[in-house]
Amino acid sequence: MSTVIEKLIERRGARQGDFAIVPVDKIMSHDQTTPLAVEAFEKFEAKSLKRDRLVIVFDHIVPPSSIEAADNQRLVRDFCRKHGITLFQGEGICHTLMIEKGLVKAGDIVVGGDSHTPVYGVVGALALGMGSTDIAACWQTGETWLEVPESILIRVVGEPPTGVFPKDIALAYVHKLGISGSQDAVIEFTGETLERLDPYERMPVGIMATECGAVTEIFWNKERNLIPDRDAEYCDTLEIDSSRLEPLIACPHKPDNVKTVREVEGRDVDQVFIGSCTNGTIHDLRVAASILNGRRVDRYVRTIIIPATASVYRQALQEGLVETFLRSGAIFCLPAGCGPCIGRHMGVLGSGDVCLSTTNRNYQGRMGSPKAEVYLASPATAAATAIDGKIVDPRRYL
Amino acid sequence: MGRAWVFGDNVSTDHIIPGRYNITTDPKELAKHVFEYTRPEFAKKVAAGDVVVAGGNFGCGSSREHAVIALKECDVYVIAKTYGWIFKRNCVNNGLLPRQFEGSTDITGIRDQDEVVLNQVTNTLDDLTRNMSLSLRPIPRFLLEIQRAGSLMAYINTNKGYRKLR
Repeated sequence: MSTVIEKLIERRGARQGDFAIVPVDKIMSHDQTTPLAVEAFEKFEAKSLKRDRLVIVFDHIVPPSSIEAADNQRLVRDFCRKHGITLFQGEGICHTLMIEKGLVKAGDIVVGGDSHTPVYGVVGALALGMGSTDIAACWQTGETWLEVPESILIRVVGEPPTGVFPKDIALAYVHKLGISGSQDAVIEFTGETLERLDPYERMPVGIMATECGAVTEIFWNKERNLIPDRDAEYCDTLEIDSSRLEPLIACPHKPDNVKTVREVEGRDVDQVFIGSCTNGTIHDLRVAASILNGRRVDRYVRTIIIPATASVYRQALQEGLVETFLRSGAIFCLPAGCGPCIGRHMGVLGSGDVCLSTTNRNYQGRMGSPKAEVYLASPATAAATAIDGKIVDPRRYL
Repeated sequence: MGRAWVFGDNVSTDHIIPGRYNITTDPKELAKHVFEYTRPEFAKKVAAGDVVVAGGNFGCGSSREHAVIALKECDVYVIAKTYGWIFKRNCVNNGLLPRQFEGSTDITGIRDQDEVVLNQVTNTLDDLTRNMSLSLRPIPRFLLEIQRAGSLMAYINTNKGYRKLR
């Protein structure tokens, strides 16, 4: 009578009632959350660093854009050098890298100092986002504690019509659940539509679980026996027929403020951003390039495209996508990283700016000025909008 | 005895401590700016024993611990209907108990600045101004052990890791 999450916890850890102690296979943290973890780690008396399980990624402000960011990275770099810890600098966004480099696999338990860590559920891992104290405690003990959560089941069926991408499926469930709809619960994903997707195509669907307040999310995986018992209890079940969806968009200033793109067509934009852990894979760049091919982006719009990782960049180069982007007048940025998503560099929004972004959050001030407005949509909607200079349904270009 | 500071639903860690102050981890400095944009008078007027009364999803958003550090320094109790998952862990790990109202409790009766007492015996929040009591969920023993140690670091140092759950 166990859900997938309960099964995984019971398989790997010691459960007693509502609580469990579980082993942790990988511990990820980045340039923003590692400095505090290093500080916390110093408080352990008899240190026992689980060196081989640590993965540290500089992706948020890379290379550093300020003295403060550089000082933080220096502190972490020294820590990594001293202990021989794996460090990636500018090779890509932590979440995409973890999957790409095979650092996380089905059945693993992984923690990360980042609220979108749950995305590793796309490969069948139990992944938990945590604060820096928890991260340091995992470094020391190789274990963590958790309250065993309930699960919500989301089943996605049907063949998505032209113009509907995984991001649209994600926005459809965020709209239904709302920003606290999965609080204290895990989202388990299944259904033929999602089974057909590879881990990178699944990323927008997995990432957005965080925006519903989910503890984490996980995709069922028959090969690894990550399927629930027949009589497993789910606290809520949602079925989405993707054949009935159309392109969707989250309007300012909440990810669950979702409308159809048709409803907001014509809204002028100042910036378009295609990239991030949510929509920066080769699949996303291919979709954007298919729309931008042979066309020009609006002269007055700042169109920024950033690949999620260095290998996505290399692939895009080989396929001629980078050439397409440059010919379209878009700004193609390196290094691969979080870019303007966190409002610190590479496209910070000014007061009154309107941005259409393929990222995951549009809270006030997220990408810069609190007076800016951010809309969230798929790379197809973003590319079409870049051409028109105003929000437009991508089906006009597909 | 203290005063109630009443907040609604979905108060994020950015509301608790604006992101621009995350450059320091000094509790005293952080406490000066707690709720700066949402309740500018809070930091000046808050006193030890006051109670932050919040609705659902308190502490949602960013995983950073500055919000908990700031609240702990204010020496307040925190009681919410529900918490953001990471924030709740951060509270326990930093020695601040994330108390919760019983699921069905209607908290709309409590008004800002009411005189309140957190009654540890009856496990209720007593509102002396309105003459009413709201019941709180019992605290799981495991969480209490970490909180009593003062921090997760202290708990792990004392127990040389996690104690086996009984």
